[in-house]
Amino acid sequence: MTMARARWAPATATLTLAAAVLGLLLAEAAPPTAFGAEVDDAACFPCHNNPKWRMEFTLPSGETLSLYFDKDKLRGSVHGALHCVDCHTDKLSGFPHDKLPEGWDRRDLTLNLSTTCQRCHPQAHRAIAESVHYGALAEGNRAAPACTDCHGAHDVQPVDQARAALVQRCGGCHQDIYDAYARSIHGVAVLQRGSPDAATCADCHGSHKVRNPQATEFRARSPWICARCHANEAMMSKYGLSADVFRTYLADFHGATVALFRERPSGRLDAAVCYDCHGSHSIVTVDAVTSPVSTENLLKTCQRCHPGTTSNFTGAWLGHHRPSPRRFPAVYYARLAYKVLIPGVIAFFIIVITWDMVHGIVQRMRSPRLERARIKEEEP
Amino acid sequence: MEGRRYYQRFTIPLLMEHWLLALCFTMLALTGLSQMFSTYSWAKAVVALMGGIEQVRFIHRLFGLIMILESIYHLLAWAYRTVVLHVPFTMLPRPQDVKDLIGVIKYNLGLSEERPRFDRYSYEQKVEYWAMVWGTIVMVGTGLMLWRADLVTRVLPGEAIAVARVIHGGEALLAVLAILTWHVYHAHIRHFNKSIFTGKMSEEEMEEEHPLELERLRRGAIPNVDRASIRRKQAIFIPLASLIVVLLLVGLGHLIQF
Repeated sequence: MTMARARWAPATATLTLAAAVLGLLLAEAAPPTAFGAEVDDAACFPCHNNPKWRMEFTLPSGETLSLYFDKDKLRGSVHGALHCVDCHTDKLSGFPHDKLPEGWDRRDLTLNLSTTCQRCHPQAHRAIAESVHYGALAEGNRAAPACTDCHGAHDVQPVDQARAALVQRCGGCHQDIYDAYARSIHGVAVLQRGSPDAATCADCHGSHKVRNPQATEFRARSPWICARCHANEAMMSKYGLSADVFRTYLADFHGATVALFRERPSGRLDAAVCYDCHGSHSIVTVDAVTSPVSTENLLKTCQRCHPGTTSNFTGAWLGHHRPSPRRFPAVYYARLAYKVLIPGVIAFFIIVITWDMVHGIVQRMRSPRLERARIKEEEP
Repeated sequence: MEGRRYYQRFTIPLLMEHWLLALCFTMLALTGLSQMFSTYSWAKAVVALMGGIEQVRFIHRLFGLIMILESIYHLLAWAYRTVVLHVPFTMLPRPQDVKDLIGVIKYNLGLSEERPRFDRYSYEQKVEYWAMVWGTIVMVGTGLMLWRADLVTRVLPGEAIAVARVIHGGEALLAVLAILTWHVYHAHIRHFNKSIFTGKMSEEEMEEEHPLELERLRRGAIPNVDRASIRRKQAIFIPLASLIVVLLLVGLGHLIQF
């Protein structure tokens, strides 16, 4: 990651955190007030929307900030109907504005102003509060993303129409991962062909509730994330891919282990998940020479968990294929044999047993009569 | 129960073997089938109860190992009884067993008045015993293959592991279903045969279940015991068996890794 860890500023971070926590607590208790009732936008525009007067403001930190606001940008965004003070609540007091606290820089302004979003978006805020991003922010990493870092401020656009833009936003901080992704099969499809299906960052990691992908919990859940698309028959058929991969994975050692691990997680999860073999951000098609599961590379990939194994070892994995008379015939016929043998043997047992049981019951019912008949015969 | 006579049927070590086998079988079936049927809720419940999949695997391998050791003991104890002590190998299948099966079918069909009279082991007990022996060989063989797939694939193609997995699961399911039908019916329902727990059987039961053996016992046909011969054979058997045990344990020690 190239994300630079900003210098620790205890006072501002504490303030930000306090504001955010307070905001979280109050989110539902206090719904937004009547939008823009107190201060009309017209009051702001003479200064902030004056093309001839592009205000430069010097922040307490010494940084400069343009106070010019492009009205058209806001009108063209999803928030076109909002008023300035709906978000800039600190400006409700009118003019002159309150002085900024000592030492504030641009980042302080951004982090502080982002706490205003939850007034309308409490659910998104609650989700964020569970994310690694929020965790980093709470630990004092001021570079961790605030709402506007991903969504923009005045120019917020609908999220579902911008898959490539979303990836680029993430790439803004996660440069290395972006570079790997951009070369991957998913990345090429999204960034170059505008695919509506191929996975973006958010499809796997979520958007607001981004969890730590190094955690065991994520690892154990990950095959089900891939399965959302790769077990989807309709979507896979569009690309000539097998939708059987998830079912066959669960039927084999690795998948069964992961499925049962999720039932009661304990310790580390060693069994391979999808990305252990296929790669994650840099994933390419399985036939590619660079793919870790290509014929040339498969043994090396297996050896990462199974050191010392030899070339035949890879054949123990059926490569997500269902055994058939042509592919893995020995496995196919072994299965077939037990499909015949088990019902055959057990049916034979049950027939013999039922027969014996019925016969026994009949005998017992008849025997008192036989007994009586015998006694009668013996009587003179 | 005045005058009720009992016949000794099993010695204490054999009773212990049965308990051990029942324990191993139950634990292996529980831990194995819950992996085989991992998508079913009962399997998930078993795994959760045992503390997770890693523990389930450990328990499975542990009881697999105990079962292997018990099988080695069983084989040596049998060899000792048969070769050294000259105890007749009554579990060996004979043509008479097939005739008995046909006889039972005829009797149940009403084609014959008399139910076949059995010796020490009836055909149905032999079916069960040899199915158990065969099943154990298959399960131990395929189980060890799966345990050390890395070693196996140095020699065999990888597909052998996939086949071993199919056989291990199929044979297990067959064994469990066979126990639930054949064994439960013959040893518990038709007549609860307590002799494997008490070691003895009453005269009445013997008359019903093992009349030919009872006749032999009544005749008092006790084989000549040649103490000198036994001692001579012991002198060969004991060192040889010890050597085999040591070799097997060393081999097993190299093979298994938890």
